[in-house]
Amino acid sequence: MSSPTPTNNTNLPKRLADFPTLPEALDYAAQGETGFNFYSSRGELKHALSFADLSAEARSVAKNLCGGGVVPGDRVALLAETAPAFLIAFFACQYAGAIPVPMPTPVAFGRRDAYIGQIRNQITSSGAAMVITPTEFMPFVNEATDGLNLLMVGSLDDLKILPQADGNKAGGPDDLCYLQYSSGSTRFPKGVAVSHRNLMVNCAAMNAAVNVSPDDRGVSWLPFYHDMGLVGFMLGCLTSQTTVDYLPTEDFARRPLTWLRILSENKGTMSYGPSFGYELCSRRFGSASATAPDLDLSSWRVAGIGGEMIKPLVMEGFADVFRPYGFADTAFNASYGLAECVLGVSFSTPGRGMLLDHISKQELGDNHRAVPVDNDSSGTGRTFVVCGRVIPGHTVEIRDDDGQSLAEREIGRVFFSGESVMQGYYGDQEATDACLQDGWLDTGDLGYFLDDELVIVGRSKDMMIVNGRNYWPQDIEWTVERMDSMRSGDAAAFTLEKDDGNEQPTILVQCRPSDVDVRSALTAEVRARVQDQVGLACDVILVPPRTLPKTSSGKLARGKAKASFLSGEIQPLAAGV
Amino acid sequence: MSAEPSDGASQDVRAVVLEVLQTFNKTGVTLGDGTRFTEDLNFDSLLVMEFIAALEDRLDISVPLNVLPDVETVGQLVVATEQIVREEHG
Repeated sequence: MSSPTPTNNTNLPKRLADFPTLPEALDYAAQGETGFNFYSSRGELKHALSFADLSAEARSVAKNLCGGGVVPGDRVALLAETAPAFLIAFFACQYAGAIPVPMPTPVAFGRRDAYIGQIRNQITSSGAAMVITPTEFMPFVNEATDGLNLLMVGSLDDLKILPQADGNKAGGPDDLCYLQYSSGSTRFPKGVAVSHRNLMVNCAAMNAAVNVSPDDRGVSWLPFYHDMGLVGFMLGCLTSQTTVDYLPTEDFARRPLTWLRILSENKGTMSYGPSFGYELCSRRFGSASATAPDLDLSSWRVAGIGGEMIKPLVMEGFADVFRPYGFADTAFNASYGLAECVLGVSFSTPGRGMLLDHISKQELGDNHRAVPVDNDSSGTGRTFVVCGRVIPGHTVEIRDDDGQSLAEREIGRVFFSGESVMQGYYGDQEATDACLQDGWLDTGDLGYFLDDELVIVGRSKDMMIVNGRNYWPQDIEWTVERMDSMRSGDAAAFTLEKDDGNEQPTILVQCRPSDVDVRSALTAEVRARVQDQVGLACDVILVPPRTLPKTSSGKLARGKAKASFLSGEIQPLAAGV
Repeated sequence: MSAEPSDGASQDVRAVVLEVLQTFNKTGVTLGDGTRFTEDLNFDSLLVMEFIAALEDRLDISVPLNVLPDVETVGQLVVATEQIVREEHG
């Protein structure tokens, strides 16, 4: 078996994303020896794909795309497995001027229909002309594309059999580079449309924010259908010619410690994950009552945390377990970002570690102010992680409900502007207009400033993040409202923050029957349906009819429903359990 | 080789699946062929992977991702696992 690509290029000077377009970034990286390596769940190297090989293969496959009828601007949906075939197809699209659309792979028991519905929605929403998938997922993709008029549905090998043709041209800086669907709900997908310029500006800013050097090496288990995996550890590293070692997400979930072993073995310096990824490692390490005398994490310079609300206790737990193996607390780097801004919005200074801010719960709730309190056990404070400075060349404003800019330590909506802001949601002007005005993106998140640094106190008012996966309340409510005894507007889904920092998915359901047995059957049925179709275990709480508040246009006022429930204005019905 | 329930090898696989699964049974339901992973056992995607890893270790097999969407019950997992064991160990 070959060896992994090296950390350093021998002759090629490091360039940090100063390219007009992504294909030009790959052409430059292809002049060196660095590249992408793929590991198995047991930490064995399966494939080493140098940027040179990636570029050559992708250029060849680009001709098959052209020969197969794909023209510049066409969308090509790709099932995003962590394997060379995905990267080759992604960059073939780049050279052919087509727009790749990474789609998720299945990850749970059952839910076949839900998965097929999800990818069909993404394929139709993006208007994909072609779908490329690993052979083993072909049955799902065939079902998902039934009746659609596509140029081809097949594997990379199937694509390579198509005749080759020249003529397609790679996109320019203002053409779209890819669509990213992780931020939309499964039923109502929204494809974040990113141009080459958006991408390159954000990659340059991220590379600068974490001081990427020629000695850096990435290690990643993040999926390519998620912005942190796709941009952070595929495109971002490629634009700085940085070698990355990949562990497929499903293998990480099975054997999380393999992540750390690869990093140790290859002297990795940069790796990111949501809090739960770190938690999985410390939990598994503890339960295995394992020792790992060879594990050496001292090379780990940037241990990035993002993607969901950061849980300080979880991170401290990780550091406690792995400090004996060379892990440095100062490596923790809290960051904030979202796909609508390509990826990164703010980063902590590398080498500082986590900075915490303890503020008054009461002031947070009553006056939307972040008033410092002592970090004691009295329960009057909440602890937040400071997420660093906004990337260079970009601006963040904290605004109140009337759009007025707020001062330091005042809590409001986070607005972002700069060249990283997406072009919009693909083919969805209404959704674009709802969050993007005059060059300012309304992130929907809540936060405040502390000495030039951003602190996030709550993610998007709608999106629910559980164990690093995004869920949308609309999907959950829709699932419930389709039940025979339910009507539109009968359900409100949101998460309730627990004292341990975890978020509990909760659904309020308007219930007409008064019979206690009927009620408990209804509770069980709602729970089972949401579990089956959305894949989420929710607390189901029955409430009286006509108690869920509506907006003036008749839509569910979800935030108000949650507030009224918390204040006791909406009282649960006796559940009869 | 058939996958009849009376088959000796399949009895073994079934026993191992149930034994490993019991350590992940947090809802306390009685495990049987009809037990559903999401509805009855509250498996989320993390727990699914943790359970699969344990099963793989016990049987020295590799469970491909594409079997997951078609597996809703314990009985279906037993059948799928038997097939993987046959393919990988003859």
